[in-house]
Amino acid sequence: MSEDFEDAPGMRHLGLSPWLQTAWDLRAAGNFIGGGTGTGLLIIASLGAFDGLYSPVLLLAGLALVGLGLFSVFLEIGRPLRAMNVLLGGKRSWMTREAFVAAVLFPLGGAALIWPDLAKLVWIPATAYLYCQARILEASKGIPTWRSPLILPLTVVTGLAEGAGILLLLGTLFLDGGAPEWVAGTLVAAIAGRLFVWMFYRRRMVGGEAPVEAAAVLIRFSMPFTLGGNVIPIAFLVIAGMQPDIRGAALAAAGLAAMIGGWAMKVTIVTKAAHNQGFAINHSPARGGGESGPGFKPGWREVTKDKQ
Amino acid sequence: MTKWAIVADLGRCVGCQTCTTACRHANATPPGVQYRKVLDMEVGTFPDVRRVFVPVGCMHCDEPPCRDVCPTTATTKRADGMVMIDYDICIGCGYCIVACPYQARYKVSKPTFAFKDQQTQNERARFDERLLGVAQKCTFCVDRVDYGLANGLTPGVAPEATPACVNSCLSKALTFGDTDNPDSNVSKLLKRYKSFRMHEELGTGPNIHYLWETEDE
Repeated sequence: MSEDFEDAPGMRHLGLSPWLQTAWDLRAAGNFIGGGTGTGLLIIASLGAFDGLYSPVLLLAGLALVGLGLFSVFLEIGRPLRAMNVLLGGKRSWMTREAFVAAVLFPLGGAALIWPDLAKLVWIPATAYLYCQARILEASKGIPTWRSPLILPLTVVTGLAEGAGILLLLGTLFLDGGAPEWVAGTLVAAIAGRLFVWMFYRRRMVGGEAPVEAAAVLIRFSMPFTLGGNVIPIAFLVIAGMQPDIRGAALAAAGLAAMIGGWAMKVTIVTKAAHNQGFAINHSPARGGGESGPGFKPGWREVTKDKQ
Repeated sequence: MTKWAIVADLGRCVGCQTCTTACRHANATPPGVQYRKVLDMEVGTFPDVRRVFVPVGCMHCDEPPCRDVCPTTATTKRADGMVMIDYDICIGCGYCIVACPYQARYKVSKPTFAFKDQQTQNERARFDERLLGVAQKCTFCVDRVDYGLANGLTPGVAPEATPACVNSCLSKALTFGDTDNPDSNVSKLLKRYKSFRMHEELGTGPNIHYLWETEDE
């Protein structure tokens, strides 16, 4: 492909085996990063409001992240002046539903800055938004690593881990006495959940539900992700519990690592392990007086019939 | 009811790419965009190796994932089964591109032509600015089909009412017709010979059928 067409996503066509989609790049990943972290933060901060946690900084940060995510994906669309058409497809599209929920989330979040009691309601649209994001990926039937049913819990639990992570980080920086203690426990639970779902997700993808190249990307990513995004945050939390002198810094580091781990996972799934379906035939044809032959599914691991 | 479909006889296709060329001429698609293309597969291992040519493109699915994800309703499915894009509504988000398991959709952001900035006569005549920045794909040559129906012609039989790729096929590997009509050309082929559809396990209900066993029993 000539360099003349490099700026034209979606045009590339590379043979028979599944190839890396180019229609959604880092800008699309930015929507899942901003939306996931922002809504994760809003969910936890909102539920924390029942325990007396209220901070305009947390609300603002959450809304800003969601807004940045939406702006990021706005940069990707081909006809930005028609962006409002995104509201037309509510009957079927999770992308439209995400936009609908955003139209509730932002006014409610903004109102909670003025009337703190409303903060207790923000978790509702924030959860709906996070769920919509997960369904957006799951509905992408052309990308095997996205259409897995496990992408749903993985996206949700990662959003919560990122939210708890950034709350620990912002708590250290902006809240008197840091984030409440239960936030660290929430982060541990979210990380445990993320790791649990990731193991099953990776196993299924490697086991034949994803093209070989996509599975290879996930295999390469798995160890750094497990250590950097999950084990290290837990280690920092342990250090925070054992060393009161550096507790604040350790909590912030744990939160940061958990958050960046989630971001890395999303970048990997959306832009690197995002190989399409490719092409396949069930049978080779008989030509002339010859006999027909076997099918062909290039770029996929061969799975024996009884396992299909 | 009517359900338009293409039947591709894999035993007949010789991989000449005439359908690809005819499609590109009919739609003046830019470089890299091929609504209809023919894959060249080598199947098997030595010494039992065979070569298979597989025409692919938009399958005009019964349950098109591209339509289900479209946030703007730009992608719709007509009563006769054709999956269409309204270029005036599409925002070019690319969601349909990643939703299509047949890699049948494209998005081009700026005008590109076969000879760099120099348009051929055909490219000039058929250039449509509405296609820039939005999703585009095969339409089963809807203009020809609709023209034929309006003039009492039978799509798939009368060349004026038949998609360009099918008309151009020199080995008669491609047949276009109505699978809901039991007496149509495609229904007869599907009844007589063994066929499969690509990625059928995904539940999309694709409407390009591949004949793979055409020896009469």
